[in-house]
Amino acid sequence: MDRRHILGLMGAGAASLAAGAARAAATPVIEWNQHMFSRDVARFPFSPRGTYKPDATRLSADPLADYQARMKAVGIDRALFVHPEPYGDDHTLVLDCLARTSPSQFKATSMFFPKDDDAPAKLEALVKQHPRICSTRFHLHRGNTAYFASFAEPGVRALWKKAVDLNLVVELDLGPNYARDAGAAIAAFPGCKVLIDHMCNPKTGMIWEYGDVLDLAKYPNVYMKMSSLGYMAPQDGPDYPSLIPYTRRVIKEFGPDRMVWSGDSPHIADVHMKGYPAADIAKVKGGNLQRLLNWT
Amino acid sequence: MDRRRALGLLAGAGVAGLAAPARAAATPVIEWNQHMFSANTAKFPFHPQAVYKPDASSFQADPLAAYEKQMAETGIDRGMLVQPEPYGDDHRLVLDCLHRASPAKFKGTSLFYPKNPESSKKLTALAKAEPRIVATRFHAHRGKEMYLDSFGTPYVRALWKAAVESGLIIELHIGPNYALQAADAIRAFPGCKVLIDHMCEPKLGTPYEYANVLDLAKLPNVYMKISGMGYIAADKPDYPSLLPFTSRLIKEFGPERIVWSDGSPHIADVHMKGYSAADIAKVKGGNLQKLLNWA
Repeated sequence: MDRRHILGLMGAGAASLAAGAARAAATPVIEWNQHMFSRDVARFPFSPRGTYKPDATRLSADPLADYQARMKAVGIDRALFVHPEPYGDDHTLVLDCLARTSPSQFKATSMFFPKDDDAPAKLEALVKQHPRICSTRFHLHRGNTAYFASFAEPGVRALWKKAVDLNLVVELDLGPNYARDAGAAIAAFPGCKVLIDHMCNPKTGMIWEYGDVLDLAKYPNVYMKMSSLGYMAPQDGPDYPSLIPYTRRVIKEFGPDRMVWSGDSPHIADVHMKGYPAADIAKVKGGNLQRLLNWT
Repeated sequence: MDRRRALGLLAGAGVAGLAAPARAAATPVIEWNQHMFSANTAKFPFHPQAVYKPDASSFQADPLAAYEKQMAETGIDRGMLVQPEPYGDDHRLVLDCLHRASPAKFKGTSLFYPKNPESSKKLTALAKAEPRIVATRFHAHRGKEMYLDSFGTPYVRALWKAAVESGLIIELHIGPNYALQAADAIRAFPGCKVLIDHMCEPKLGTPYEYANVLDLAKLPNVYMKISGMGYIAADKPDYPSLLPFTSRLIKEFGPERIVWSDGSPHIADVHMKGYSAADIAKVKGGNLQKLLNWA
């Protein structure tokens, strides 16, 4: 290889690096994690079917303003409001937050009771009326088995199908012992888009069950959310470096194109993805969600 | 490439292909797992400091004969007699079994109390008097914190050092939450040989702690024993439900440093599907043969 050729290649490499860095800088930071809770329980009452009820006196009068302040403080550009369990399938508060904000900055998720026969119809009505609702969530892990017992149940499959038909992302707040069961549902809807919450709640599962969680990476369009690290290593915030041997393996299995950071500061992605190119880290901080949600 | 050269290479590949199964067939199946317990508590009493005392009435009069029968049935050629906790640092039963059996078929392990200041001296004496004792074991996991406070304590390091100087293997019956501190101890004795029991007791840790166990594979001479599957899965005898877990564990340590034990050696065939026969033979016994220099 001659000198001119080598210099040419070096120039191309530098240009490629510069382009990657520019792309990374232009990629928005997006969080998919924040619940909205309001102290105003007269206007936003908890559902009688809520699986838990927080102490309303400790909640904010304006959770949206609080969150917007936090977003600014830690450098989050866009976000999804995650509909909280205590409101059941009453989405009044999330819709109120959406109505008060820009579509370019906020979208939201939904939740329904899979055992309700009319849950798919309710989901469809909500999404048709509010297209910024882009996901619906299923809960199933040790300690939270109130909604259903298996992803094979007809009610779950019907709601999942409706979500897929509406082009929603299926959000799974799942435990490792249900990963295999969830995998069968994912396989039943080829191409469905899935986001697994909180690293699949490793604290609620056994080590060998986590092998099934990692196996979910074989399905296309299954994304893993790196969040709630504080539940695993509360002594080790804000970056939780003690978890790197664990997060590194999860990131490797799902790859930087299907990992999604959320919770605490986006700097966590820098720490836990040390050695990855800036462009990959930018994907995890927001680029992957931008693509998944087709959010220009 | 000319035809003669191509044929030569093909023939060479054929010979190599034949040689591997032959080597696999010639490799002994070795188990490192079996405890000896005797019904004769007068001759082989439990230790006063034992962390548990089993019901001796359920034991065989001759545990060695019973184990040899089991070995013949499951196709195990050689075995390590693992000193059980109830006998503490009294090794009479293991030594009795060793003395009644061929050195070609059995070796044994030892156990001492790390907090006992005499333990290093006792270990050195035992290893010198009984060269078929080839390992000493440390216990530390959730529910079993009584033997040691940390792998960083001077008394653990002293016993570990005595074992290394006597040429023994360090057997670690640890839980995932001890993996980080065990790694520090391993690094403190470069070249020391370590065998981790029972896949590092996955029932006693979390998935994120287990990543530290997998990181132990970065250290040379650290072997992982795939055993104790019956404690974590019900689908015996082969436990295929554990494949997503075991396949990753085997990949991290590699077929050169995984050791099958417990149940039938057929477990290695099931959990190493896709590996070569030579690799599976290593896991069934070749790796232990090499580790123990057991010709």
